Amino acid sequence: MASDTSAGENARKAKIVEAIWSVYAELVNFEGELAATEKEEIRLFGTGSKLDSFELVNLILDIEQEISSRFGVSISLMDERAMSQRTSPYRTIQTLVNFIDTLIGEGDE
Amino acid sequence: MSDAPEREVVLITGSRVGIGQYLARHYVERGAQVIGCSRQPVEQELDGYTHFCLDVADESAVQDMFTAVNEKFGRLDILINNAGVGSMNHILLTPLATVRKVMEVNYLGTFLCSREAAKLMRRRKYGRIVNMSSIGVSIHLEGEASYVASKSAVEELTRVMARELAPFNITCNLVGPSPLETDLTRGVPAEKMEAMVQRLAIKRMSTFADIANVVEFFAKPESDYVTGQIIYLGGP
Repeated sequence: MASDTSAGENARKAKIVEAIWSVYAELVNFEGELAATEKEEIRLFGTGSKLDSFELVNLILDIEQEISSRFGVSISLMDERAMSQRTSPYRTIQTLVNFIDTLIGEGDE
Repeated sequence: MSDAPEREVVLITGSRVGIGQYLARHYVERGAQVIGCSRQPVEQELDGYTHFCLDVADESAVQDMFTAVNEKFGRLDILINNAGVGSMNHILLTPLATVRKVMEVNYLGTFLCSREAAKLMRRRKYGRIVNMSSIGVSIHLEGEASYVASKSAVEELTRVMARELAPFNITCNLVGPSPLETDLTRGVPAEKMEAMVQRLAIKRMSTFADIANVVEFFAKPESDYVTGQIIYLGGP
């Protein structure tokens, strides 16, 4: 059972990565292929990010909509740690995936 | 399926009575699709007008209203944050609960509606947000500390929003009416109203038409280079 749960969570996280990626790739006009792990390492906020603050806001709001349409749930990605270099959930695609996964999980409980 | 209209979509808070009601009718008459809200239901139905009963400081209720606006109309062009409450009292006699309520409706309500409206507006890269202040701010009106402080917060919020929302082509401006007869000022003694009028360059009270004139100026498409501004009526 535990492995079923873990597999389910991994599948959900993979779906979240793809949802984020579809929005991000369009925003930065990315063409080409990347492995899932390479996508997750991409920095969205702070040093190494290709996005300015305006693009980051647009990205986050567009991801909210993308998650809503793909998962059929409404989540809010607003967070008081948004602009923290150290703890922002928007630091990388991976931290954002974890943040969204937690929010969707809370909705399931 | 959204019946996305070609006509302007305007959302006005506090639209049941007073200036909000006047603005709702004004925009309906101009052919706009108008959405209004207030805590109590409206007494009259109006073609082209949709009403929501809610407290503008209730986050989930406000979000639900904007979701409904998006689903039904697919866009929002103009937000007029008109809902407000007042409290006339000496600061030494003002309960904290009163201060909290005034701040919730006037400041938090404006913040919440602006945030949710801007999310809708950004998709079309177009929007006009018009907030309500008061000449009470400019003259530091004694006896209205909670109300004036809340409107002062709205003014500064609007100026910062003007900068943060400019990249989305959303403008944010303020109208500061001089005294006018509304539910908000009904309890204010006539001599106090008259004293305020005497401090103005133009010594008369505001009318709804005066306010609508400035709102319309800020809200029209041609005012796309006007943001972060306040117009106090009457010349305080």
